Amino acid sequence: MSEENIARLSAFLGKRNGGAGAVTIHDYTPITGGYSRAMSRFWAQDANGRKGYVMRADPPPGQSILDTDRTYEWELLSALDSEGSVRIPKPLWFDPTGAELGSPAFISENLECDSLHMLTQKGNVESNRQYTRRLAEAIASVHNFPLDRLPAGVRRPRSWSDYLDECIASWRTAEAAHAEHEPFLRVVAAWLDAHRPPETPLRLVHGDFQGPNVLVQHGTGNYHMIDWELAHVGDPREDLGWWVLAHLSMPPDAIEDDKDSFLAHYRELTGLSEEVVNPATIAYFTVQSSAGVFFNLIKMTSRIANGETMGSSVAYMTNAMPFIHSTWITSMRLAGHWTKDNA
Amino acid sequence: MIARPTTPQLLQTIKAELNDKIAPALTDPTHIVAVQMMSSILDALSVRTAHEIAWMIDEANATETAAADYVAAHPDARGVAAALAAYRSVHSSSLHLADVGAAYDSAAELLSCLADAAFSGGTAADVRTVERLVEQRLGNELTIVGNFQAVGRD
Repeated sequence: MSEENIARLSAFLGKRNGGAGAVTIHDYTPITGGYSRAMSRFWAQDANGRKGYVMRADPPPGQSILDTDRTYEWELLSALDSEGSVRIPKPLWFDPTGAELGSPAFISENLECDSLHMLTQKGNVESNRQYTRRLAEAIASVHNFPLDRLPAGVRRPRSWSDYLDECIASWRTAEAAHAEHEPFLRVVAAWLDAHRPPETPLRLVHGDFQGPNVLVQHGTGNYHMIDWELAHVGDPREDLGWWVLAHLSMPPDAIEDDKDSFLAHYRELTGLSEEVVNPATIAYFTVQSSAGVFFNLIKMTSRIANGETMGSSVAYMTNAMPFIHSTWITSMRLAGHWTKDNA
Repeated sequence: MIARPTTPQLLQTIKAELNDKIAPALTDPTHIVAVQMMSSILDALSVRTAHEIAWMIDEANATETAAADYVAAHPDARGVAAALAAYRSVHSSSLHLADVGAAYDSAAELLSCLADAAFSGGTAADVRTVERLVEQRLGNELTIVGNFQAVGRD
């Protein structure tokens, strides 16, 4: 980080430390885990002592694979923190415009933790079963969050069928944002429309449920969810489907290796039936849940095609797109609605 | 023009230097991840430059044939017929990348129209034809990128 930005950060914290004097920043380190926001960890020293924090900021224009709104995420985090049933690192301060920190950013407490993904990478199929039950509890806490406690900016669809209609329509309209015709989008739209799963009550959906976004706190063992930029009210099976897609490119998959146990505990906690939550319906939502991320990918890679950006992390996403296409076809087969062998 | 070393060979040379000489000197984790991403992109480009003209032509031809068969069997399929006519108006014998790309783009729209028609009013065989065309396209995409593993995630 530049000296100018370190000075901005010191000044920002100095205005919010209750008169504990000048703040000095130590061990500022970028966190490379995510592709969308500029994340960093640092320690701040003032008259009260030394504390660790995490900053989540908008990257420079054109450098992210996702365009999302920090104010939306901050308000949601504040609501989650206030209600208390979903564990998250405590959100502390927000600069909505970037006037103080250089770009819109918020600062949260730094947890002493490991990501669940890191832990499962170190384990094996047997040892990773220890995480399944707590993981079901973590995502069930999101899906059980009372919708009336969400901030006004989080849109509430009128009904499940309206919501799914909108989702399917979005596949057809997304193509317009792409630099080329993309037949997979309309194939997926037609397929989703033809094979709708059983209805379920709308819930809060995390939107990027995956191992790197689940932090396991040292000492307490509590699971904290991070990266809420894609959270919305929708079908809770989207999170379970997205987990599958995320971990195909990022093994191991802690749920797949103990799926029956995970699903049984999840159903018990959420009250959703086996008819609603099962491998076939999750496969349907592995396809549907990729819409938000995939639409952003085509929007961002189109900016390269249109000469509007040169970011290598965006260019890299052209490698991810065939992988997502492949996952759609595999999921359609798992859902029982795509020919198993077309050779 | 200079045809040897080939474009894939030049790209692999750049990749080797990036990984063997530049990457070890980096300390910023964001730069290390960026180099990993570039290396992966260069691998994909090596395959893509070797085959993309031929693969785009093959896929477009297969889509044209399937669409023509569909229109013959379903004379009221106006959307597919219009997309087929649009494709044929763009298609040419030129092998320049821009021309092949333009025809390929039109063939992609033709495939979308064929999928819309097959899923909403076609037979099981029509749906299967769409599935095969999609799988042909996917097969080439996957040959280009190989086994994708997201870099820098932990």
